[in-house]
Amino acid sequence: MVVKTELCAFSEYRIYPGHGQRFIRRDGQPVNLSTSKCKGLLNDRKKPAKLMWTQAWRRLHKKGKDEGVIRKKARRIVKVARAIVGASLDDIQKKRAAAAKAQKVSSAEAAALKEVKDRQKTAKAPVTKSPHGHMASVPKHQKSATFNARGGSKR
Amino acid sequence: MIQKNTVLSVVDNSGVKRARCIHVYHGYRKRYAKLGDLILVSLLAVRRKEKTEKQDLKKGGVSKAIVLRTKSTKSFKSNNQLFFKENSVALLNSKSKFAGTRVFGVIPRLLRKTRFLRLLKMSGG
Repeated sequence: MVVKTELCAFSEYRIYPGHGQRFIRRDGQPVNLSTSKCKGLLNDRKKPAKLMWTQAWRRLHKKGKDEGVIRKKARRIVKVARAIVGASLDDIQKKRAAAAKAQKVSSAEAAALKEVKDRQKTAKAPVTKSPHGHMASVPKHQKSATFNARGGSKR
Repeated sequence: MIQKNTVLSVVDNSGVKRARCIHVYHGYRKRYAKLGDLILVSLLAVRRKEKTEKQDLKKGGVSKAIVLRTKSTKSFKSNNQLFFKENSVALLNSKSKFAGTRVFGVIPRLLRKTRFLRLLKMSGG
């Protein structure tokens, strides 16, 4: 038979059978006390969190916790897109997409322009170098599949 | 451990507030009354005059009472000990019937063993 042990309401020590007293408060709540020391201090209305020998104090001052503690993984910060005053979430996302596209376009254009320059150097043909250029000035054999009629890269 | 001259609070709705123990029943020179014992009390203070006058209880009068709560501990065979914050009684009239119809607050389970089972009905639970 296993007898249930209570915890002292003051010191939080275990109360084994044959020890301690039970005090019934005015509202009917039972308060288990392990020793007359706890009983006396309870009567004096002392706070267990202010007495160094109680478990309440130890918890408050974080004593003796190192044995069973597993370090928590550092949490990763998740960036969440949020709406701000003056721009709703949709607007922000559209602008972002457009900006990303433009960047992509400009980088692709720059790469295309570089490619043209290189080819022209090798071909040694005098050509006007403008990114949105007149495609007619480019010799036909240098026209690549990535160019469209208006100029600019493949979309 | 209620003895002569112990002042007790009356926790039924008989209208009496405080009572003083003047005699402990059931024993020659029995000194102390514990939970569930009968005592004789004199009535010190009255809560509602109209109520008590109906039952012929008045300040300075005498009545029987049963001890419901004590500040001293009650020990059990199972090694538990129990005590309350106050010394309380419920009043009985001369015919050993209860003067009130309700009992306030907590009363201990061991009162089931007494012959006053009406107490259980009177109490809240």
